[in-house]
Amino acid sequence: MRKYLVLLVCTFISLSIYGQSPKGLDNISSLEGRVALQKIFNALEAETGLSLSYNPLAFEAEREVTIIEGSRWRRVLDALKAQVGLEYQIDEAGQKILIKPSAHLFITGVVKDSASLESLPSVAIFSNNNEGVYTNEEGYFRIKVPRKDSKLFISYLGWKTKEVDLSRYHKQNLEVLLSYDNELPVLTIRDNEWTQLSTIGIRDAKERPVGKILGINGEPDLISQLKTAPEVSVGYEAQNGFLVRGGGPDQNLVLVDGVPLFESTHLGGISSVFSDDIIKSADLYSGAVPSRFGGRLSSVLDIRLKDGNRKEYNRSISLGLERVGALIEGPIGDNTSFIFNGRASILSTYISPILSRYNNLETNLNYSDVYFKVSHWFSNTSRLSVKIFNIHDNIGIDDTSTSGPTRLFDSNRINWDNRLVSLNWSKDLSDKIFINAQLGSSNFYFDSKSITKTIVDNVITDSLNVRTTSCHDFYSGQAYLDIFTEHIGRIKVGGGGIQYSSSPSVLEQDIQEDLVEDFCGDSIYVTTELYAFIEQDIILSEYWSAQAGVRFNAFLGVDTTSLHLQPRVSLTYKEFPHLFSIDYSRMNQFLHLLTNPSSGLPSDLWVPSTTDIAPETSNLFSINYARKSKGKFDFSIAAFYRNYNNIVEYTNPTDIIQVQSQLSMFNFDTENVPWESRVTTGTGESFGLEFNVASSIKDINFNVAYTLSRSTRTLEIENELVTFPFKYDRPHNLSLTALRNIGKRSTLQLNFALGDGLRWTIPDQIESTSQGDRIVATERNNARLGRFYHHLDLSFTTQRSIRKENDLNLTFGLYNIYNQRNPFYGQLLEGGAPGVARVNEISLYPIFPQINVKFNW
Amino acid sequence: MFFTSNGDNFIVSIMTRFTFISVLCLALLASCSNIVEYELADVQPFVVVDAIISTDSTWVVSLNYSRPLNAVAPPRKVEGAEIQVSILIDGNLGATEENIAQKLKLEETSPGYYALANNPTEGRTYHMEVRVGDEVLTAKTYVPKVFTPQIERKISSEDGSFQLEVELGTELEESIHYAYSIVPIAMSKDGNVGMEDETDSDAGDITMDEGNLIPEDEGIVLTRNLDLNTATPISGSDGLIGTSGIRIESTLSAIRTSGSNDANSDNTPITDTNQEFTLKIWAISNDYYQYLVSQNGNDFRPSSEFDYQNQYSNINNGGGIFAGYNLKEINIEL
Repeated sequence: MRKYLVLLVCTFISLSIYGQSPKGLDNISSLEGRVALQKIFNALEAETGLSLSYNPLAFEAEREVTIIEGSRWRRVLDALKAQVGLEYQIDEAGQKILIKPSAHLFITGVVKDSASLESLPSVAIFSNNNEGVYTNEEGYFRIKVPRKDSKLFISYLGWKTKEVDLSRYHKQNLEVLLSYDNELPVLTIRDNEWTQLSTIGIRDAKERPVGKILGINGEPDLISQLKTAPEVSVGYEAQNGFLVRGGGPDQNLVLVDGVPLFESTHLGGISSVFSDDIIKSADLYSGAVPSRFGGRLSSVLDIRLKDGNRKEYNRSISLGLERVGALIEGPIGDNTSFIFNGRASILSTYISPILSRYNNLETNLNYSDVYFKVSHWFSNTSRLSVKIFNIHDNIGIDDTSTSGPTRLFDSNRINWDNRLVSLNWSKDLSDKIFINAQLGSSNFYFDSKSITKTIVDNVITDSLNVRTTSCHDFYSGQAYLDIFTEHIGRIKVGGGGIQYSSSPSVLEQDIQEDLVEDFCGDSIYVTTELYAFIEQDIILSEYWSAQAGVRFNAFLGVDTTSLHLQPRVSLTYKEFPHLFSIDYSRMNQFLHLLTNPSSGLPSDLWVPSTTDIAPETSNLFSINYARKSKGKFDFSIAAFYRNYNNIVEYTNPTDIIQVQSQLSMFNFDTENVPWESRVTTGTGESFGLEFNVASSIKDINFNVAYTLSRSTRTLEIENELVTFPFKYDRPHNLSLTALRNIGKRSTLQLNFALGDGLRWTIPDQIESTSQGDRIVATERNNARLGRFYHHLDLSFTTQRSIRKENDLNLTFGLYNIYNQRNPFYGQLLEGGAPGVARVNEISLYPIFPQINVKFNW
Repeated sequence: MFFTSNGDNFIVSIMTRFTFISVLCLALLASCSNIVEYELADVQPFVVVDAIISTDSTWVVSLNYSRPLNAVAPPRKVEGAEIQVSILIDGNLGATEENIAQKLKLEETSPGYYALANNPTEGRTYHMEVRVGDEVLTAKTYVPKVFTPQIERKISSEDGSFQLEVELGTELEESIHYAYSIVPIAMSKDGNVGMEDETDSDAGDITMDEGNLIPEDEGIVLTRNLDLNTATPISGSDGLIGTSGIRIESTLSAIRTSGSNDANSDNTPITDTNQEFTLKIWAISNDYYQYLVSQNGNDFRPSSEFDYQNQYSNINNGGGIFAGYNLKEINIEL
């Protein structure tokens, strides 16, 4: 920590020294507008008092430079350097100034999609002297290139690499247009392009073509794509979200244009909430997380959504077996664009009547998502955008069974809504400084209801209603500067604030009435998180580079305030074809997800840190080695260790419904025990080894990812420290993906996922007392639901051109081709042999046909 | 191979058939429940302690071993164990010579049963240590103070409803759960429940007399049917005390129809104002409360989407319960 702070101080001292210059250069220049070089030199001598030396043959005297009115002479000299590549040098006495052509130029520009003029973030740009940079979130870059015979190479996975001969272009504000590669993109996982870059540190963002792996519903799916990486678990049946390096689903921060999203998948993972058509870029940070991100323990998924086509209208409609969708985007005038995308499920339309008739189940499985964004460009590098993203999910299953005069009614309803609104503004303040600012809100509502009734002769004789509700209003503001320095690399510095208004509640009733409708506001916690950060890419030598940063958080909770310092650092050595890196990240989390500890239906409850529940903390250490051989055979191995503090879990290992028995015991009408009295805090750790192999053999590209890991939790229960496996502990995790291109327009894809089953607590002993026989579990999370989770998927995708510029995309395939019944949850049944537990396992996705038709025009 | 001259038609044809078959498959396979048997890992049986104590009965503790899930054989008794109880002061084991001298050892009176002839004292926290071979189990619990409820007012009306106001006294304690129920005398367990003879216990004395052991041939009854399932908590929703009195409003018919074969079980209001009832008031330690709560939730509920609830235990290094309680019964004539 101390070394790290010294490094930061040195950085700022360097910046201060860099800014010093003779006093004459602080005079205001009389020049403005487009001014010829010779005129500038004359004015420079006259207005600064400095004696000027230069070689007139080294540049064109009539070449013009743009000077902003009121600029000091130091700024004018900077403009000379930036615009025409002239450096200046001042003698020790501070009386003479030498102007000479610099050996290098700094080129700035924006990279865009040639078809839509969408700016492209994270594009790799490198020069012929092997200097390299990435574009920022707005597609902006600044790169140092040789003065003579310099070229730029722009490379972006899935796009055609472009070569720019700088002698043919104006050196500033380049607009580089990239074309999408018409061939179906090669499936490449973990392609960091790092072998071609020498001046930037490797990032943990896994740059890969977005959405080429199909989800359960057969649509290209971002979350399914993530699950093919070794850092990410292949998941479980009907699991929402994703799991990274032994963490829980709540420990991943999903940002949509900088605003957090609470649920990233629909209907238990049937698809992610992001249509492939609206994603501009997605970066997953699982190692050294940049300091500008915070608030979760495991990882950050930074998703940037499209702004809309600025050149022409583009429309598409899609129809799948379980949903319909539509998209329209286009320009509004010269400098404004919009995009609208909407999807809605149709599964219930034909499944519900069938289930009602043959299974006596009344079901309702619906989801929808709507995305709308308007962007306006004030200049090539200045943009303002407004976005609305609304997500809705609804799962309802009513089961009624009748036996004589007795009727058992069992109803389970889960629905959640997440609405995001944000305002984003970005602008280049100079050729070295770029500002990003954002205001946003995210409103999340989760409601889980379970109603069981016993009805005898139309009279309700027994009833239990359980409801968990999570209501969150989240408001955030953030601004940061992206500073492209010449000597100490690229720096991002900024800050912001987030206010949460949370209302988590658990309610039980045994009254013979429906549950109250409006439940939010029952208990409200208002908390605020303030933060500031600085991060920097540092070039240490030809082979060594580093990324370092620190994030400072002040958490203003309910009757409590706490301060948190989160250093992040990554040290990288790379010499083709080897790469070696060491990462460290400290993370804090101020919102916690309480999940049903049993294998029962989800009852997710997001709760804030309070006086009794301190913010969660994690420390991640990882060591990575990768070997890359230009796509022929890529191999990587990583080892990680993460510890957790103050993690929150339900005290009861089997059920959140502790009060259920109190209802019958004390005949309560209504009970609403605060969630804090049901939870306990503890520690945890996870560690593992990750392997990844990717290669191409003829037309087949394949990727294999395997992870060997463990994840445990330690809680103080009844005054004893108890260590047990985490619910998502998964020693073995395997993902295999193979893709074969058939011709230019068709692909055949095969996915196989395998992992240990979800852990749950199952009773294994009987204890007998005078009160009778009772079953107990000797260890928490002592069994696995389904033992192993696995499925094999096969799909075929083809693209057909109907007319010029009209495309028809067809996909059909099968998810879970051998109909593996991976359990979603389990019910313990009576009976069985001694030492054997009978369990009714409920699975959600059997063999599932994937059919999608999409028409673009 | 898909791209013949009429390749589009071929694909559309395939897609149409595929869609039809897929919908059919989905409909047939959508309900996926599967009953499987898990062979549980061998677990070393643990010692189960059954020690529920009250001031109105002598010390009796039962020990047995846990059994695998679904075992049908009776539990194996733990023989030859050493059980020692001590009084704690302010929750900590007394450090003075005087208190250490109060440690008492229970004697094994029959296989798996250990007893002491004297009764626990009210308002005291007890620490119990059980040694079974090399294993040491420990637990502690509190025996609530005996309190003296007084009937302040009773009002009964001809429609069968009544009101009672009961003063619970000033000895009520925090962290103790109080509950009450009222039942006709005819429904009480032995039909002969009378007014308790309230006697003041020796509240200021923290010592225990080493009384005579219960003779083995007298037999030992551990079953304590406290009838708490019909009880109503006094004051707060969690059952903790927050008031010095209770106000009861109810109808007699509702009580009488709760399972008796009484003549008035037809739900008609009781008009016999001379009917006698028993008001039961419990004071139970938090340990016992937690145990009862989890015990009730421990029943198998095969049709429920929620799992069983793990049995609460305050025994370190073992299972079962060591808990104290008090019960007061008052006969009321309405």
